[in-house]
Amino acid sequence: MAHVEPIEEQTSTGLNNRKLLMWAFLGSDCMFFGALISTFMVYRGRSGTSILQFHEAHDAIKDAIGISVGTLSIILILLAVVAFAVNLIVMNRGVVKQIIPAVLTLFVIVVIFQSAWIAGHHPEFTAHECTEMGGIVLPDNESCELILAENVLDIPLTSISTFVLLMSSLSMVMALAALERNNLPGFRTWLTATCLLGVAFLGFQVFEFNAFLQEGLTPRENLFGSTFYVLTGFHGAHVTLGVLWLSSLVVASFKGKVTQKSALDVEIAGLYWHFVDIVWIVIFSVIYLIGAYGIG
Amino acid sequence: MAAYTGLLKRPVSPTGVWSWLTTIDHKRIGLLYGVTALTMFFIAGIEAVIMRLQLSSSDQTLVSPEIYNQLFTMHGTTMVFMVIMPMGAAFFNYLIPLMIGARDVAFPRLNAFSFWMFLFGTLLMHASFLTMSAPAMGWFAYAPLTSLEYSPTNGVDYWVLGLQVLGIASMAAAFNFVVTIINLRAPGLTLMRMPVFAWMTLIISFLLIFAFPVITIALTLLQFDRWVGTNFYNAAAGADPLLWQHLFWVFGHPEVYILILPAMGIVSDILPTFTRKPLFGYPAVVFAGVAIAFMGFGVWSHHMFTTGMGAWANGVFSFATMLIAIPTGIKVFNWLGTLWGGAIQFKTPLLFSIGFISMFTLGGLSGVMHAIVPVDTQQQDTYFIVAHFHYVLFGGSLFGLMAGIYYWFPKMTGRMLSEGIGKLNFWLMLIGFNMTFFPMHIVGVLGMPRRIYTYGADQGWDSINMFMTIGAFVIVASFLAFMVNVIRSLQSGDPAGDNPWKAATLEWSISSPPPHYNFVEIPTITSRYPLWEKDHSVGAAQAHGHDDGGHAVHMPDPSYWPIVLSAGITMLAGGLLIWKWHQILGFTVISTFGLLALYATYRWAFEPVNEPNSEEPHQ
Amino acid sequence: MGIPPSTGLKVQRNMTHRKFLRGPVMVGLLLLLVAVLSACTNPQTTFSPKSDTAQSIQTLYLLVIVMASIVMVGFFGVLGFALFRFRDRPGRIASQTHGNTKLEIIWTLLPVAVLIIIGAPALIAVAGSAKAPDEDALHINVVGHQWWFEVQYPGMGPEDPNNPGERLPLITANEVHLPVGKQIYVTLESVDVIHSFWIPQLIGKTDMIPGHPNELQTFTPQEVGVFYGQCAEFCGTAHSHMRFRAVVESLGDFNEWAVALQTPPADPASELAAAGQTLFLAKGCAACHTIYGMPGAAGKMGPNLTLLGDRRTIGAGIVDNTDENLRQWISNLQEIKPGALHMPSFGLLPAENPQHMSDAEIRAVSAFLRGMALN
Repeated sequence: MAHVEPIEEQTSTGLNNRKLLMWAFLGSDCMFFGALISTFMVYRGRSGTSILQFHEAHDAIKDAIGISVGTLSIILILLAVVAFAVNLIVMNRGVVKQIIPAVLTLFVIVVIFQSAWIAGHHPEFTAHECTEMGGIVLPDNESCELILAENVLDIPLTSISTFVLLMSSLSMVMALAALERNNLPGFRTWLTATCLLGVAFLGFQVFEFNAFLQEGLTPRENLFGSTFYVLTGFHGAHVTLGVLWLSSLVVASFKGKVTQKSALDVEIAGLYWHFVDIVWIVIFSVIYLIGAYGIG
Repeated sequence: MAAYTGLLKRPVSPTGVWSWLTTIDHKRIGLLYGVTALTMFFIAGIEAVIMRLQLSSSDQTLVSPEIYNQLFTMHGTTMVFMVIMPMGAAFFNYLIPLMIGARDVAFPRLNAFSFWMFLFGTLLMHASFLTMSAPAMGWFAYAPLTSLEYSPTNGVDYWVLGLQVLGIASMAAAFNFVVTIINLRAPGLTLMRMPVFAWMTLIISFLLIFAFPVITIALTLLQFDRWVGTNFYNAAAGADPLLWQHLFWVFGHPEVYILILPAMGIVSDILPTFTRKPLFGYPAVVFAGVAIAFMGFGVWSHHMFTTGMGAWANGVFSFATMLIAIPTGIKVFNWLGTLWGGAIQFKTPLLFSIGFISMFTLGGLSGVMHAIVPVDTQQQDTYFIVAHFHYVLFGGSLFGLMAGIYYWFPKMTGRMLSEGIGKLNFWLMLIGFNMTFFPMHIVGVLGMPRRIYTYGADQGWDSINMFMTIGAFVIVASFLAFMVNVIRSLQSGDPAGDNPWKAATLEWSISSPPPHYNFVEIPTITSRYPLWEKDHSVGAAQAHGHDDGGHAVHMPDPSYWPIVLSAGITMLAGGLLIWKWHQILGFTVISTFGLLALYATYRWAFEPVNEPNSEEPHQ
Repeated sequence: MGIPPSTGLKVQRNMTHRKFLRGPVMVGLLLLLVAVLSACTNPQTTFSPKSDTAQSIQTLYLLVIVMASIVMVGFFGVLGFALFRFRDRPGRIASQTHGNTKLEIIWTLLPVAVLIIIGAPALIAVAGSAKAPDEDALHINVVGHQWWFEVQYPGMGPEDPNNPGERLPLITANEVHLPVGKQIYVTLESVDVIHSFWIPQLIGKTDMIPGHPNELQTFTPQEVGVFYGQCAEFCGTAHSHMRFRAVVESLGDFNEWAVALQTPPADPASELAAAGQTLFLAKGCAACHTIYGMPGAAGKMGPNLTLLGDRRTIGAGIVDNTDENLRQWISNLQEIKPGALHMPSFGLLPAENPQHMSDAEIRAVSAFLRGMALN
C-alpha cells in the first residue's frame, strides 16, 4: 500500500507503525494456519474410502531415507535462502559475485529433491496393511479399496512447486534490495518475477487439485479430502492475495508511485510474502512428507 | 486521484450525519460503539426478561421451546460479542489516545472500519429475526447439533456469518491498538507509567490477535460442512465432534479474559481517584494481567471436563485452572490494598467499582469450584455455571463498565451525571443482580440444568425461579434509572469542567469534551499520576486562554472507504447466505461485492491523509 | 506526591459499610434458608448422595464450599472494614503507599496454600476416577437419542438368533433399573447429537457424543429408591423434556424385572386391551417400537415399550404414567413434548388417514400398553 506522502512519524519504539501492524497481523495468521494444520493432523488416518493402487511391500529403510532426506532438504533450502538474503542485504555483495555459490546451492537443492523424488515416488504398503486400515484387497492383487487417500499425493510435483514458491521469496528479497538502492528497473524485474513465480505455484496447485478431483478425491469424499482442500485452499487464497498486492505494486511503480522512499511498503509486502512461503513449508512437511511416508 | 467530485467528493465537514458516517476521530468512534452497545444491551436484556418470565414457574407456555432456544442463544451471543466487547471498545477508542498523549490511534480509518464491521455484523446476525430463524443452538454452538441435519434452518448460517464479520472488526481493532499503545505514547510515558486501563487494552489486543483466528477456523469448517458437504464435524465420516469444542474453547477461554480485563483496568484507574492514593502494587497488577492472559491459553478444556477426555487431560486442565486463580487473587488484594488507608469518596463510579470487586470475587470463587473436576461433574451444564458466569460478566464486567460510564461521562459530554440517581441506579442494580443470580447457585445445586425452557412442578424449583424473575425486574428498574440519569444529564446536567474528580491521568488535563485534536501540545510525562505531581506542567498549555484552537495541528480528513468496505464485506457475507438458497444469484452477489471490496481496499490504500481542499476543522 | 487533602467534601452519612452490605446479606440469608430446607428433599438435588461416588463428590464439594466461604467472609470483612474505617472525612489524608512487597508475597502464597488444600484431594479424585470397573460390575450401555434414553443391558437379553449361545442386550427406555449395592459401569454413546447422562443423587454427568463413546465413573448405589435423571447437554428443541428415572432396587427385584422384561407378555387381561394390541400393530406403532415377545413389534426407531405399565413415567421422564397422560401422548404428544420427532399425533390426523385413531381406539391402546406390567 503506497502512500502519497511518505511522512514517517516518530514512534515510541522506533519501529514503523505499518510494519508493526503487519507483524501483528502475521501473528494472527499464524494461529489461523495453526488451527487448520492442527485439524489436519488430528484427522490424519481417520478417513473414509477411496480406491487407489498399492504395489509390493514397502521398505522401511526407504521410508527412513525419504523422511530424513525430505527434512534435510527443507532445512538446506531455508539456509540457502537466508544465506542469499544475508549476502545481499547485510554484506551488500552484488548478485554477479554470488553466481557460483548460487549455482552450487541450486545444484545441491535439485539433487536433494531428486532423491526425495526417488524415495517417495512409490508409496507402497502390504496387503496386510490394506486390511488393517479397513480396506479390501481387490482380486487383481494390485489394488486396495482403501481407507487412506494420502496416496494421491504426488511428491515430485509438489516438491517442484515448493521450490518455485521458495524461489519467489528469493526474488522478493532481490526486489526489495534493488528498490533500496534506487534501482527501479531491477525492482520491477524482480517483483514481476516474484509475481510470476507465485502464479506458477498457483498453477501447480490448480493442476494438482484437478488431478485429485479426477481421481475421486473431493472435499466431500472423506476427512482427508476435507482437511486437505481447506488447508491448501486457504494457503492458495493467501498466495493469490499476495500476488494481487505485489502486482498492484508493480503497476504503481510504472506510474511513478513507488520509489526508493516507499521501500518500507515493499518491505511490508515482502514480510507477508515470506510468511506465506514459510507456512507452505510447514504445510508441505505435514501433508506431503509426513503423510506420504508414514501410513495413518 | 482525480475522482473526488460531486457525490464522491471526500467528506471534510465536521458536522451532520455524513460526518458521523465518515468520521475517523477516535472519540466519535468511541461514542458510536458505546451507543450501539447500549442499544444491543437493551435488546439482549429484553430477551433475558422474556426468558425469566417463561421460567418463573413450572410448565409455562409463554414461549415455545423453539423461540426460547433462539432467545437464549441470541442473549448469550449478543451480550458477549455485541455488548461487553464493544462497550470495552467504546472505552479504548475514546480513552487510549487521551491516556497516552496521542492525537488519535495509529490507523484512524482502520478504526472506523472496525466500528462499521461491528455494526453491520450485528445487523446481519439480527436480520435472522426477520426471517424467524434466529440461531437456536446455544452461544457456543456444539457440533453436531449445528450440522444441516440437526439445524436445518438458516439460524446457524446467520450466526456463523455474523460472527465472522464481527471477528474481522475485533481483529482490526486489536492490530490498531497494539500499534497505538506500543508506538504512539507521549515522550516519557514508559509502559510502566501507563494507566492500567491502557495496559489491559494492550493485553487483550494480543489475546484477540491470537485467539480469534481459531474461532474463525472453527466457524469456517462449520460453514464448509453446511454448505459444501465436507465432514469436519461429521461423526459418521470418522470426525470427532469434540474438534469443534476444542477449537471453540481455545478461542472461548481467552475470550472471557478479553471480557473481564478491560473492566479490571477501568476499576484499577478509578480507585486511585476516589481513594486519593496511588494504586497499590501497580507492577503486580500489570504483571498479573499479563500472567492471566498467558495462562488463559492453557485452560480451555476446563469447559470440557464431562466430555470424556480422560483423567490425564482433566487433571492437567484442572491444575492449570486452579493456578490462574493466583494472579486473579493478586489483583483483588491489590484493589483492597488501594482502598486501605485511603480517603474514600463514595461517588457513583466508586460504588460500581466496589460492586465490581465484590461480585467478581464471588464469581471467581464459584469458578474455582468448577475447576475441581468431580464437583464440576455435578455443576456442569446447570444453573450453578450460569450463576458463575453472570457473576463475573454482569457483576464483574458490566459493573466495571458502568463505573467507567459514570466516571468518564463528564469527560465525554462535558456534563455531570446526577449523583442521587446514580446511587439509585447502583443500589437497584446490585440488589436486582443478586436477587436474580445468587439463587441460581442454589437452584443449580438442586439439579436444574441450563438451557431448558420449562421444568416440572415435581422438580421443586418453582419458588426460587419466581424470586429470580422478580429480581430481573429490579434490574430493569435500575436501567430505567440509568437512562433517566443519562437523558437528564445530557439536557441539563451540571457542567463538568476539565477535571471534576481531581483525577491524575492525562485525559483529565484537557477540556470536557476534548477538542478534536486532543492536545494542543503533546505533553512530556514523568510519572504514573501526572496531574498529581506537584507543580506539574501538564495541562498548562491546554488551559483555556492559551488554546489557539489547534491551528497548528493537522488532523487527517474523514473518509468513506471504511464504511464502504465494511458494507461490501458484509454484503458479501450476506451473499453467501443467498448462495445457499439460489446459487447463481448468490454467486452474483458475492462477486459484485467482492470486487467492490477489492476496489474499496485499493482506493483506501491510495487515499491521501488530507485532501487539498480540506477545511481542517477547528473545534 | 502532593495530593491536596480532601476538604469540605460532603460525607454521605448513610454510606457506611453496614448499609452497604445489609441488602445483599439479608437476601443471601433468606436464600440460604430456602436452600437448606430444599436441599434434602428436592428430587434432583446434588446434595443428597445415594451412592459411594456421589458421596465422595459431596465431601469434596463441601470442602470447597467451606474454603470458599472462609475466603468470602474474610474478603467481605476486610472490604467492609476498609470502607468504613477509611471513608473520607474532613481532614482525612490518604496514605500514599505504592505497595508493600512483603504483603504482596504473603498474599500470593496464601492462595497457593488454599489451592493446595482443595487441589490435592481434587487431583487425587481425578486420578481415582479412571479406575477400571470391578470384575462383577453391572455393565449398562446408554444410547442418547433426540430426545430419549435407550438403556441397554449387554448380555442379558434374549438369545441372539445369529449367534447361538450369545445373548442380545436387554433393551428398555427412559428408566434405568439398578441393583442396590452392586457396582455399576455405564458406557455412553449417541446416535445423533451430544447429550449428557446425569443422575444427581447417584453420579456426576458425562456426555454422550456421537462417534466418541464415553464411560461414566463407576458407582455403587447404596439406597433403594427412585432417583431423577436428566439430559444435561443442550440437544435441540425438546432438550428440556429429555429426562429419565433411575430405579434402585434389591438384587432380587432387579433380576425379577430383567426376567419379566423378556418374558412374552401375558394375553391382554381385558377386551379393551386385546383390541389395543390389535390396533398397536394395525396403526403402525410396531414399525417404530419393540415389545419383547410380541411378533411384528420390532421397530427400533422409538423407545422399547415392553412392560410399559411398570414404568413410573412416560415421554422420557416428563409426566407420570397415567391413563390420561398416555392417551394425551398418543393423541397429541406435541402438547406434552413440543418438538418431539417422528411420532405422529394420532388423534389429530385427518379421519381419512388410516393411522388416525379415535378416542375409543386410543383408550384401547392405552389399556393394552399399561396392562403390560410386572404383576
